[in-house]
Formats: sequence, structure tokens, C-alpha cells
Amino acid sequence: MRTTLYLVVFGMLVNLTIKVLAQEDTTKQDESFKYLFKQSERKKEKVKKDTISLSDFYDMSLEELQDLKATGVSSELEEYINSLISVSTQKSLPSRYSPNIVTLVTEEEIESMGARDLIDVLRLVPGFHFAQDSKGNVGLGIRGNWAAEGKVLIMMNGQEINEHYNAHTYFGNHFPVDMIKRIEIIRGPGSAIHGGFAEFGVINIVTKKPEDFSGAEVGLNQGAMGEGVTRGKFNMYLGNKWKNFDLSFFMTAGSAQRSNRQHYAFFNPTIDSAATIDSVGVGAYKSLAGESDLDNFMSNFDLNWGNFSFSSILDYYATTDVTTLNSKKERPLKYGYFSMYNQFMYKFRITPKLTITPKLNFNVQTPVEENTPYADALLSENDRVDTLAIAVMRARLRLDINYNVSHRVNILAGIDNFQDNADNADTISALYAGKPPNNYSSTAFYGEAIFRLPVFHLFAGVRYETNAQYESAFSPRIGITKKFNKFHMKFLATDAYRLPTLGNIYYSFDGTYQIDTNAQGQAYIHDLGRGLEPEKTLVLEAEAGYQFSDKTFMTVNIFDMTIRDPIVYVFYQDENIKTIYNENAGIEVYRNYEKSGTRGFEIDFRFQDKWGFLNANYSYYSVKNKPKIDAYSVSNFNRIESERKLVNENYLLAFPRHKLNINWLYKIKPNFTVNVNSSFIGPRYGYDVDIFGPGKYDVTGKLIKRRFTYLVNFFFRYENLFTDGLSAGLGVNDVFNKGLDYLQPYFGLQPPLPGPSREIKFTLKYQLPFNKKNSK
Amino acid sequence: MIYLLRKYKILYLKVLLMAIVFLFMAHPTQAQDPEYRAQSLYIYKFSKYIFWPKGSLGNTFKIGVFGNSPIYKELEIMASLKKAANDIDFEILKVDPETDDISTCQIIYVASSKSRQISEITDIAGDKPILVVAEREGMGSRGATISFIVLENGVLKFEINMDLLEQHKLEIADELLKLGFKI
Repeated sequence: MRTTLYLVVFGMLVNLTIKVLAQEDTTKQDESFKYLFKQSERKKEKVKKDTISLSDFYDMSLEELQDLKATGVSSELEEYINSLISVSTQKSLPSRYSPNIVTLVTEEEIESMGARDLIDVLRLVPGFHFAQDSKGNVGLGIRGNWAAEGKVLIMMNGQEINEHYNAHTYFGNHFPVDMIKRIEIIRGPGSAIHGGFAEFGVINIVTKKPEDFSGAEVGLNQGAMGEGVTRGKFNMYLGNKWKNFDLSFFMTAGSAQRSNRQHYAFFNPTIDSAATIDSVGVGAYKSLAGESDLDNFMSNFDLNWGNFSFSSILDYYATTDVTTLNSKKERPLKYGYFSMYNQFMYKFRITPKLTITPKLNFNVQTPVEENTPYADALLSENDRVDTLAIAVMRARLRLDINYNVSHRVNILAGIDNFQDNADNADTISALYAGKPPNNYSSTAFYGEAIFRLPVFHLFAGVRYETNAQYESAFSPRIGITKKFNKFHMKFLATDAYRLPTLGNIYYSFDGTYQIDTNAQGQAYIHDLGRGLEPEKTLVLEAEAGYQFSDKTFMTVNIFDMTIRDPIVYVFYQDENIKTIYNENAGIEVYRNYEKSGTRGFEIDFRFQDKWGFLNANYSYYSVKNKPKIDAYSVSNFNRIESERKLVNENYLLAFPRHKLNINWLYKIKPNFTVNVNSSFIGPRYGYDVDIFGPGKYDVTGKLIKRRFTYLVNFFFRYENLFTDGLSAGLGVNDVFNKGLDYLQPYFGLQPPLPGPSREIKFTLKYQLPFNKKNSK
Repeated sequence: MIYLLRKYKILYLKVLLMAIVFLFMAHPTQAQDPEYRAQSLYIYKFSKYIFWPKGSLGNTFKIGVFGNSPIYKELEIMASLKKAANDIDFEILKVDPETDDISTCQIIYVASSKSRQISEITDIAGDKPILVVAEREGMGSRGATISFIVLENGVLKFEINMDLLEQHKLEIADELLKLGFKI
């Protein structure tokens, strides 16, 4: 009975439910119908509107047709891949047409990742990896090759900012990462226009200009590794545009620590006391916290008035020499690099097709200064009021003649002359025979033609360099690019040429010397011979790219690089030096080697949508069947080069063969983003100290292998926080505290330099537009 | 040690494999057709700013499309909205020189796929008042009076062979000529 009652009640409930649901369904159907109807009405309206707008489209005036795009509205990705690259050729071209393998880094990418410095940004570029140079500085390697020794051209707004005495350009809290609008990168040799340092790559940092933002901006970039603040950077920008006149100024100043981890440094007690090495020993481990300063001040004043432009850049970069300890186990040595770059340029428009552009550059650099023993030497010898140890001045005059023959042919011809003058008070000069040159000049004639043939684009360039010191050199360049619909391909061949710099010559060594005996009967070495030849690099490249959709783009490229007579900074020891002095004695010098090189490939994938982007790239290099040199090879540890034995023929020192980068941005809200970027780094080889006993001298070196590691960083960024123009970001670098270190890419006796450990970072920026209507 | 090495190698390979699979799986979208609306706009302007000799125009302004191309649809839309000079209607035709009489057309558009057969059109066009427009660039030297060209910055332009224009007894307005490149 109860069961029957339950069944009846259940049945009624089911019935009721079905009815209610049915009613709801009916209502829903009605609503759906209404919605469809509305949609249909809307569609009709839309069609009507479209028809009207289409009719207007056909009524477009001929004037408006001037800039009519062949395709419809571009997606964000299409805008990205069609961005004009100015660094590649005399005429700005989109990356798919330009005769180089190109990477473009945008302001959005840099800001959204909360980049601390340029290392964070360039680490994500295919084929780029950082390694350790002398004195604990960090330089760039490209495609497995050490590029910091003047083999990569660094420019700011098209103006060369390489250090041009030793030709070393260093990274780590150096360049103004918060002021960057975009970075144009050539992963391969630059054009015939650049010459010189543009051997393995070109990095053109384009900073904010009034055309991007007219107003004022201040920003703060801070970080903390372990305990306490380890990085603080302040930056400001001012810029405004009037009719045909614009002015801008930015400055950035701050200090950071390279790392807070333990690092083995070598004693040099003579820095601070009369103590000898016998009293302290070879070296010791000590934390880099508070003793690995990376100080930087950089400013740029920029003026454009019609066809005239003037730009002045000041760059002061000082780093602690983390490799040297005094008798109190401190790191007191600091090296400063001061540079001032000035450029005057005027573009004469002779006819609409012909322009002549003279450029005058005047640069002053002091690549080494501050509290080094060498600084004191110059101070006393030349009675200088400052403490410059090396001062180099460069005057450079360039003249570009650009003739647009037709829409299919563009020709550039130019002349480039520079004159370097240097003072060097380094006492090492006493070791050498003869005096090194203290001035140097070179003249280059160059030409480049762009032929827009119906089937493909042909680029042909040549650079002829002549100077009193070396034989004249001829550097050809040829490129073919082809784009059809969504596909593009490139075939490129360049033979780049680089002259040794004054610093290279000063510290060069041709392997010859004299041995004599002094009054005490001790043998000594003197009259070292200088000698260095220019280096040449032949690079063959091919790229294929495909745009899968308006959101997806991918490129694959292969490369083959061969460097003839590479100029390498390396530790030198031989049997005589070892016998006369001691087992550790040697000199660090520039030498030419026979041939070196790599080959490999890079894959770059980009996906960009309204919600954000996902970029991934993979790079690989191989040295199989490529010529190898002892200085870069993975060999057992032996100070005498001829006695080293190759251990792994597939690698070069310091650089991973495999590297995968993933950079992901998600827009939680249009003004609130999260970025996660990571690098997966394959095994690497380098040298480390080998402490084999308790004695002071029980230290030697050993070859080490760093296994696969990874870096993961994330960053949240909020724009227009509380008020318009205020943005703030917070994130963590190296979340898993892997502490990627920098290995030395040549035989230079330095143990791995620790990189930053896990770091919490914070950024704050406020922008005040002068004219809200015209602001971005 | 060896175990750890193997373990990391496997992890590394897995990451690589996943990344590669992701790269190829994530976006299997198809490539889009090029946009033809801009070309149809130019063709409309050609009909307005290029002048045919008196008596060569019939009751309609005929545009023939040689080759299977999306431009045909775009031209039909244009024809439904607009009229040619002297207020005459457009007539859009699919043409094949082997089977159709193309000599009555004022404009013949040669699709990219038919570029190799352009001579079939130009032979018949001879010196008749027919404007041969090629989709593919560089066809000016092969008999097309006008060929479209997409500049590196994505802007659509055209190349015009002035000798052929004269040969076909056509004249072009200066303001339109400024938009193109003479060859």
C-alpha cells in the first residue's frame, strides 16, 4: 500500500516535472526563436549595412587607393610578421622579404615578461645563449659560437654602441630594457652596409620615441634574490612631437647583483698588500652576494628636425671583477666602461628618387677604469686628472647614396671611414717588442642592390675594406627571398669581414718571444711578438616559413658558419713559460686560429590570438665535419694547448646543442596579463677548479659537463591600476631555483660563473601623456 | 649516476616530443584565399579612368575572367552595386579563349593559374580595344597591359605597359596612372 502510494506520488512528481520542463522548453524555444529572429533581423541589417559599406568601398577616391592593402584587415600576428625591419637592408622590408634570418621582439613581450635586463629577453631568441668572458663578465654566443669578441653588432636606434677597443660587449643589468619599443635581431651576418662587428648577428635596440609616446614616464624595476633587495633600477622618459620637430630624452640608472651564490675566485694579494701568493694560496669559494655589482647609467638625447637628426647616448657600466680576491678575501676590483656616442645625420632629398645621407659619429670610450692598477699607472704617467686607463676615440664619417631606380630596383652606394685613437697605460706593454699602434683608420666602400624580380627578390651587396695595416678585403653578400601567399623562403650567403681592433692588436700574440737571463741569473721571457690578421666568416643560410592561419606562423632555418682566422682571446702557456715561471703561469692574449664554425637549424613558432600569445622556438647546432680549434673545443684540462685531448667532438665549450624556449602570455583581462616563459637547456661543457687536496696549491682544473637544466619564470602585470597610466607587475624568475650558470666558451681558466638564483621581481611604471588625444 | 642521466634524457626527450607534437597539432587551420576585393575595386576604377575608343563599347561593359578565380564572385558583387562609365551595366563572364568569343570584352582578367596561357588571350586581343589585366605580377612583358603587384608592405599596386595600352587604343587618366608603375 505504502509502495503504491509512493509510486503514485513519484508518478505525479515525474508528470509535474515533465510538464514544467516542457513548459520551460517551450519558453526556451520561444526565446530561441525570438533570438533567431532577432539574429535574422540583425543579419538583414548587417547585410544592408555591409551592402552600403561595400558600395562606399567602391566609391573610394583614387587618393585613398594609395595605401590600399591587397588583403583585408590584418590580425595581430600578421601585423607582427609584416612589421618593417629597418636593420636588414637600406630599405625597410617585412621580415619575410628581408635577406636575413630575423627575430623581432616587441615592447609587449618585454613588458609582459617583466624583463630584468636584456639577458632575459635575448635568452629567448633562437640560437642565442650567454657565457662567461674574462673578469666575470657575461657575453653573447650565437649558434654555438662565441660572439662577444666583436662578432655581434649592437645598435641603439641604428647607432653602433659596441665597445670598440677590445670589441667586447657585455650584458647583465646593462641596456635600458624598460625603454625599449622593439628589438630587431638578425641571427646571422648583417648587410654589407654594417660590416665590422656584424659578423654573427645584429641587435638593434629601438627605444621609445615621441611618435610612440608623447609624454612623461617614470618607472621602477626591483628584485630580491635570497634576503634583501639585490636589484634596483629607476628610469624616466620625456618626449614630445611638434610639427616637424621632436625631442626625447631617457635615462636609466640602477644597480644589481650578478648572483648570490658561491663562486671560486683567485687570490691576488698584491692588490691591497705586500703579501705574496704563498701566504694565501690559489683561491677560495666565496658568496657573490654584495660582491658582484652590475652598475649602469644610460641616457639618450634625441632630436629630429625635418631631415636633420642628432642623437647622443651616454653609457656607464661598471662590474665587479668577481674572479679576483685580495688578501682579505674581498673582491675590490671594479671595472668601469664609459662610452659616449654622438651621431649627426642629415638626409638630403635631391629628387624623390635620390637621397644622400651623410652621417657623422663621434664616440669616446674608456673601456677600463676605476680602481684598477692600470688606472693608477696612467694617472701617474700622463698626469691625467681622471683615472682613465684606456681611452679610445672614434670619429666616423659615412655617406649613403640611395637611388630608387624604379619600384623594382633600389641601389645604395656608400663610403664609411673611421679613425680610432687610443691611449693605453697597461703595463703589460713592457712585455712586448715594439710599440703597438695607437691610431688606426679604415675606409670601406659598399654597395647593395635590391632587385624585385617577378619571381623573387634578389639582394646583392659588396663591401670593400681598405686600410694601411692589412690587405684590402672584399666581402660579398647575396640573398634570394620569395614569398607566395602564406609561404616564404630565403637563400642567403654572406662572407663577412672584421678587422682587429686596437685592443685586439695591443694584446695580440703571434707565438714569438725572446728568452734572456737577468743579473740574478734567472731566465725571463720578453719581446713578445704582436700579430693579428682580420677574420672572415662565411655564412650560408636558408629559411622556409609558413603562415598556417591569421594566428599561426612558423619558420625553419638551417645555417652553416665557417670562421677563417678567428680572433680568440685565450690563455696561453707553453713549455718555456711553464719551466721558467711556474705551472700556472701564462698570458691571456688575442690569437688567430685557423678555422672554426658550426652548422644547425632553428625552428620558430608563433601563435597569437586575442587572449595572448604562445611563442616557442628550438635551436640546434652541430660541429660535426666542421673545423675545430683548440680554444673552443671540449678537451681535457691542460694549460698547454698542444697537450689537450679532444673529449667530445660534438660540442663547443659553454653552449648547449639543444635549446627550447617557450614564451606564453595570457590576458586574464585586457589590462591584466600573466606571462610564463621558460628555457630548456641541453647539456653544456666547461671547466671548473679541481681541488684535489688540503694544500694551498692543491688546485688544478677539470673539464665538467652541465646536464640538462631549465629556467621557468612567471610575471603578472596590471595596467591602469587605480588610475590611468599606472602599471605594476610582480613575478618570480627561476621559480625552481635551478641557478643557470655561465660557462667560459674558450680556454680561459675561469670556473663557472653563477647566474642569478630565484628572484622575486617587481615593476612599477607611470605614464603621463602630454596630449591625451594623441597618446598611444 | 647513469640512471639519473637516462632519467633526465628521457624527460628532456619527452619535453621535446610534446613541444613538437603541440606545434603541429595545435593549429591545423587551413590557409586562407587571398583577398580579391581590392583587385575588383581596382578593376572598377579601370573601367572609370581608362578610356575606350568611341564605338567600342556595347550595351554592357563586359569583364571576362579567364581561369577559375574568386575574383569572379567579387566582380559580380561589384557589378550588382555599380555601373560602368556612361551609366552602362557591367556584365561579368567566365571566358575561355578556345570556346568563347572574347573580342567583345572590354576587360579580360587572367587568373594566376592561367598565366602560362596568357598568349591565348593576347593573340586574340591583338590590337583590339581590350584591356588585359593579369593577376600575377610581371606579366607586362608577356602581353598583359596591366598586372597587379603586391608591394612588400602589403599595398596593392599595378604595373602598366604603356606601349600595349597604346596598341590597344586605350587611354588612361593621369590620376589613375599615378597609382601604378609604368613599365
